[in-house]
Parts: sequence; structure tokens; C-alpha cells
Amino acid sequence: MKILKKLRTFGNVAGLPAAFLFIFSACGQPVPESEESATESVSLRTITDAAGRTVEIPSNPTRVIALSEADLDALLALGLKPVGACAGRGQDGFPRYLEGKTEGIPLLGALYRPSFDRVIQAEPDLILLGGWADEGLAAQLEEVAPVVVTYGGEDTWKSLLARLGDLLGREEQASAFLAGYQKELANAQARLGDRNGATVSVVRWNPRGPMFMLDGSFSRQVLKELGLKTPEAQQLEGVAHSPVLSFEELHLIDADHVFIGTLATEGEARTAMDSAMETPAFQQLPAFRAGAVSEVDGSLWTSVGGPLAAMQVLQDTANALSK
Amino acid sequence: MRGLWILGVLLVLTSALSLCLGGSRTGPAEILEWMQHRLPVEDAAYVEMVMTTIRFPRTLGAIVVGSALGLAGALLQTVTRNILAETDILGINGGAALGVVIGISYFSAETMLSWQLFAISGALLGTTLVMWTASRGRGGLQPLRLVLAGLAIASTFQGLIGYILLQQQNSLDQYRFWVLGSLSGLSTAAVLSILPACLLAFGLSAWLYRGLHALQLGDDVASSLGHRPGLLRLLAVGAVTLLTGCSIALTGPVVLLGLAAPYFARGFSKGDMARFLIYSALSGAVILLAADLLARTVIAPYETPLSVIVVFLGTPILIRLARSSDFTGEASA
Repeated sequence: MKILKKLRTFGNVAGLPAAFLFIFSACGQPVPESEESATESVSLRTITDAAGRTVEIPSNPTRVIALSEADLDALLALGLKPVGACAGRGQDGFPRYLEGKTEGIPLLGALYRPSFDRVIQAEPDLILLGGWADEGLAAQLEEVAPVVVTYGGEDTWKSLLARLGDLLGREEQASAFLAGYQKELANAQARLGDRNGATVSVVRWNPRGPMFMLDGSFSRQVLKELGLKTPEAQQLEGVAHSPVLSFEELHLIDADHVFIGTLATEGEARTAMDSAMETPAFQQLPAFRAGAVSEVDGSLWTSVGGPLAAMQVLQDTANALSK
Repeated sequence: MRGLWILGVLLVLTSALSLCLGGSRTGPAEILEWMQHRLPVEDAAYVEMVMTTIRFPRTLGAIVVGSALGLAGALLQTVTRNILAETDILGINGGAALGVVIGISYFSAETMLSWQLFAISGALLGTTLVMWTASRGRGGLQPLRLVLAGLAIASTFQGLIGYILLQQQNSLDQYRFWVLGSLSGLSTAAVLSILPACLLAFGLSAWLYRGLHALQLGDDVASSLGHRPGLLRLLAVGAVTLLTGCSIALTGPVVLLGLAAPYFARGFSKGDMARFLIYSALSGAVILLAADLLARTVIAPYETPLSVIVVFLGTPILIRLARSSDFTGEASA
């Protein structure tokens, strides 16, 4: 019986936060009664989204929700603060690199797993569902507002930006951002100087073995524009990362310059570099011996990024290679 | 003694293969030249790095962990009198997993060594809880009570793991690498660090084998022969905890090995407990060496998780065990 009593106490302690959460969500602001009735005529237009679906959306959407980090990134690049967004991949909050731009945006839940209560509370008039072809999720969200799939497998951050510019009537901001990007690209290329055409690797480190980003991945697209090459051994098609590499084959990640990062986001986390340094095979890498390894934010470099992330990759690369 | 010969030869063979195969660049010929100091300095440095920091720790790790898990499986099947008993019923795997998840989530554990510390603390916690729960009440540590307590604690741990992973998105990515098990990234020092505990458990098993042999005939017979069944089980489970806890700390959980190794050993041991325990340890080492060879070659230059390979090897055995006509679930050596 003693153990039962103890267990019960433990249960109470564990249950407390849950209970609070429940009360909190239950006592949250009541959904205000919509002042404009549903029948009020909002001008609508019909578009075809990245998944080929035909969707009827408001001509001038203002209350937008972003379910993917690239959508959030692109909205911010266009100067529109969403009324709600999901957390970054493998992270507890919004992507770290967007810090300072995401203040005041309500967090809806984990990536592609929003809390529907919060979605309804945000009263969106448009929901952006980039890179995810989950019919079930789309169907559920459509009960709240029109759902647009903003990018698919073939898309880049540029086509995403263009599509959003069109959807939101912000074509001007989109081309302004692109112009800024081109300027930054030229600037970065100038800073690279004779390093142009060098090979670079993008590696996600794990104590069990590293993975490298494949040719079609987000950061590789940006690097390609800069004129930097993928090492021959890594020229594999795909938009994600390779499987875990054997340490014996670590030479495959060698390049003129190696970018290395982990997904860990905690403050006191061991850095990727520290972890890699403990590996003798890594210490034998020609790039490491030449001091041509730099540490980057893995959550930005090894994920699916939008326009702002692309800018960051440009700057990181120029900083690392022009040293 | 036929079993000892066969398993011994297999062990030497798989160990040699484990040292010779792997990277595309370092094969048997190059290794021979390296041993005779006939390689140019630059090449020799590379071969030496591969041999001493990658293949040797891996081979040593496979032998230590394989024999530990094999022996642990044999001990556990004997004390629970159940040939389907696996070490995860003791709450060890669940405890170790919970330890690692807590380490990753709340203490930013990112290195092998920190994972090991959290895994072993968790394993100890899990098994202590299970043993404490199971040994209360009359009759001491009874097989059925052990299994039930183990199931209850393991499920509780699974629930806690799920809770933490849902809260901490960034832990999931690291946890999934750990939970599938791998011998990649081991260092010799790490393997040697678990050796004393494993040797202690091996010694304990050698000391216990007579009692365990008697235990097969039932608690009453064992008692009349002067053994104490409750104490025997407690010590045997203690040895299992040491063996499994250390192994998991090193490689992550490797499922089904504790089931497969005693299965092969039983084919050779002919009812003799000492042989059964020794052959289980040897089989475990051979199976893990073979599995690790596959893990690094199947999709080379990439790694396949160890558990995936062992499950492929172990599942047919499990099916065979369940379908065999004389299946009663009662374990004997």
C-alpha cells in the first residue's frame, strides 16, 4: 500500500502541468463572435497550388498561417507577419536563425502538427502547407480556411518566394528581396575571390557517424549559385541527407572546405566541432589539417530553408571562405 | 566438446574478417604489408588509424558485447525457465533508454561517453525497481513475478520516454540513432571501461552454474540439494544486469541477441549448464561479429543499424521456436 500511496503522489505531481494546461486552454479567450458574417462577400480567386490542387482563396489574404519553416521564412521575407506558425524541424520553437523576427507570432505546435484549437483561435484566412502532401491534414485544415500547398519536391526557395508573392499580392516585395539576394550573391562571390569553384561539404555530425547533405538539398542549391562544387563522391541525387557514413569512409566528406553542424539547439550542447575532434579519423582529414572546417548552425544548413535562410548561408559561406 | 571447436573456429574467423573488411581502401593485403612495416609512411599512418581506432575497437566491442548479451540471455532464460525471456523484460533496456533520453533532453548529452553514463544509470534504476517489486512478498524472487514486474516497469518507462520526446523535439533525432544500436564510433578505451564489470559477471556465472543446473529440476529439488533458489535468482539477475547494462551503454540496445545466442548454444550443450553458458557467450560474440560485418558492408560506405540486422537474423529463430512441436516454453540447458 505504501508504494501505491507513493505512486499516487507521483501521479499527482506529473499530472499537475497537464491539469494546468487543460484549465489554461479551457479558460482561454472565448472565440469572439465573428463580426462579419460568413455570407459577406469577400472577393475570391481561384489558383492552382504546388500539388496541382485547385483552391479558392481570398484575393487579399492578411491573416496567414505557416505550417512549415520555409513558409514562415518566406512570409517574413515578404514583410508579412503570420498570425500563427509551427516550430522548426527538430526544435522546440521557431527556427533559431529567425530569432528577432518572430516575436509576437503565436506558436501553433510542432512542425506539421499544429494544435487545431490554436489554428481556429488564430482566425486565419489562408493556411500555407509547404512541402507536405498529407491529404488528411489538408482536409482537416480546410474546415478552417483555404489550404495552399506552397512547394513540392521540385521547388526551390525562389519558386516558393515567387508563388507566395503572387498569392499574397506582394510581387513587388518578392522581386525586391530577389534583387537584394542577387546583390548579396555578387558581394559574396567577390569576397570568395579565387576560392570560386572550390569544393565544399555540408555535414551533419553525430557521434555514431556523420551524414552529408545531398545534391538537391537547400544549402547545396545556394552553394551551387555561389559557384562552389560538390565533391565527386557526394554527387548523389536527393533533397535530404545521406545515411550514416562509416568512419572508415570519412574521407568521402573531405573537400576544399567542410561545413559541419548538429541539430542540437540547447545552450550547453557540445558543439559539432568538439564532438568531431574526438574522432581520430576526423583528425586525419586533409580539410581538418588545413584548417578548412567551420562550424555552422545545423538547424539552418541541414534543413529546408526559405529566402532568409538562403541569405544566411551566403553570408556564412563568404565569412568562412574569405578568411 | 564439438561445440567448443565449432564456435571457437567461427569466432576466430569472424574476428579476422571483422579486422580485414570494411573500408574500400584497407584490405587484407595492405594490412599484411602494414604489419611488416613495408608501407610508405603516409599510407601506414592511414592504415594504422583505421586498424587501431576503428576496426580494432569495433571487433573488440562486438566480442565483449556479444558474449555479454549471449550469456545474459542464457542466465535469464534459466532463472525464468522461459526460452522466450529476453533482457528487456528486466526493465534494463527501458531504463537505459530513459536514461539516454533524459541525458539528451535535459543535460545536452552529445558524446558517446555521456550517453554511456546515462544509459548505465538508467539500466541500474530499471533493474533495481524490477527486482525490488518482484522480490517483495512471500517466496522471494519468483519467475512469474519477475516477468510481470519487468513488463510493468518497462511499459512505464516507455510511456515516460514518449512523454519526454513529445516535449523535446530535438531529442528525437539523436535518440533514434542511439536506439537502433551500433558499434560505429566506439573507442578501445570505451570498450575496456566496461570490461571489469563484464568479467565480474562472468566470474559470478561460473560460480553459480552448479546451483543454476540444480534449479532446472525445480525449486524443491534445488533446495534439497542445498541451494537457495531465491538467492540464486537474485545473483543471476544481478549478473544479467551488469552484462546488459554495460552492453547497452556501449552500443545501444541490440534486440533479440539474448534470444538467438542461447538458441544456438542449446543445440550443442546437451543439457550441461556449464557448456550452455559458455556456448551462449561464444555464440553471442559470433552472431554480433557477423551482424556488424553486414552492418558496415550491406549499404557501404554507409552504416546499417545493428538492430535491423540482428532482427533479420533473429526473427526466423523466434518463429521456429514458437512453431517447434515440442514447444512448452520451459527452458533447459
